Amino acid sequence: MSQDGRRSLEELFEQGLFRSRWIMAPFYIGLVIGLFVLLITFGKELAVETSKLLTFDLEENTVVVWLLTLIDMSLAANLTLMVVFAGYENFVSKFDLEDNTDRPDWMGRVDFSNMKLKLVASIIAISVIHLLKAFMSIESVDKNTLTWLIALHGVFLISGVLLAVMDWLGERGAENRALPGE
Amino acid sequence: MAEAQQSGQGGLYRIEQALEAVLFASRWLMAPFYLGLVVALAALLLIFARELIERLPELINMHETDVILWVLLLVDLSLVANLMFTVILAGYENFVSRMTAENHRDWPSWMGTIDFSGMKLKLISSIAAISAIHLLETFMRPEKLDIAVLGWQIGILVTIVAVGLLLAAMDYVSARAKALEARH
Repeated sequence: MSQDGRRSLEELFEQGLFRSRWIMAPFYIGLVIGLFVLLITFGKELAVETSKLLTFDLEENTVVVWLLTLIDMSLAANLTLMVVFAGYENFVSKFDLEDNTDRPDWMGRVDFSNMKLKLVASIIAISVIHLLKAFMSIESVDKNTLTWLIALHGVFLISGVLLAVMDWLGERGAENRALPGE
Repeated sequence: MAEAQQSGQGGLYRIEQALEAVLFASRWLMAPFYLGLVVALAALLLIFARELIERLPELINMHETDVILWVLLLVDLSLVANLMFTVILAGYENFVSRMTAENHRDWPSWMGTIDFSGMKLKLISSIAAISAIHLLETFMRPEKLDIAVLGWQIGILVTIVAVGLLLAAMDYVSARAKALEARH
């Protein structure tokens, strides 16, 4: 009796822990709202600048910087969408405790680490766009700041590569662990 | 004499068993930690919602860099939430519940796929992603650049990534060694 009680308490607790994954769901809804705001800003930027463009009172450099800003915003939107998709899939929806056939794929490392690498790649793209912007308006950029921006960009690149190596090593290690058992 | 010795050993055995049961049961002391993490996750959700709702009206008229930064902040908070949830589940599975399943009957089959070193690597890569997002925020606002702070931020990110790499190498080497040992 007491054994049964303890077991059902344990089950209750475990189910509670698993159900807490639904706390994560509103985060993704919020990110979608953020995406929406990004879209509104994008549309506004596009409309305002296009009207200026049509009256030919923009310089060439300004146009390029404007285009880069638009690209920047789309890349940020990409990054957000990726976090929403991968996060929801990995954490919220793919495993139901009720039917055990649902495996948590995020524990299998492919999706999860892929998401991290894509995230870092997006960050690198955004930073390179910013560097290009600084390049286009080089007269107005503080050189000291620019040095740091370049250093930062290098750091992003290096950490991307190192994270990829880390994944590779982790996967190789798991393979080796799996070998002797079979 | 032999009987006495045997009963003495039986007593010792019983003490040993009781000790082991207590030590074993102490894993349940970890369970409230995970419960607390769930509460903290809910608190994080509140902060997220506040950030979202409070700044939504003013954002319509904001500069695009500010909007991007705001979205990055939201992404950042969700990544922290992901990290917390990983710790909750993987920690519980590794420390509390796996031990209850000494008799493999009620153990869901998929729980066996989680391994401890894999969890550590995921944790580190999550942390690296979060700190990279923070650095990107600094990057997008070069006019507010504080060189000393930035230097440390870069140092920390590089340290985190290097630690992750070394941990992965550690796992790899030990797994290799085990595989070789098993072959001989």
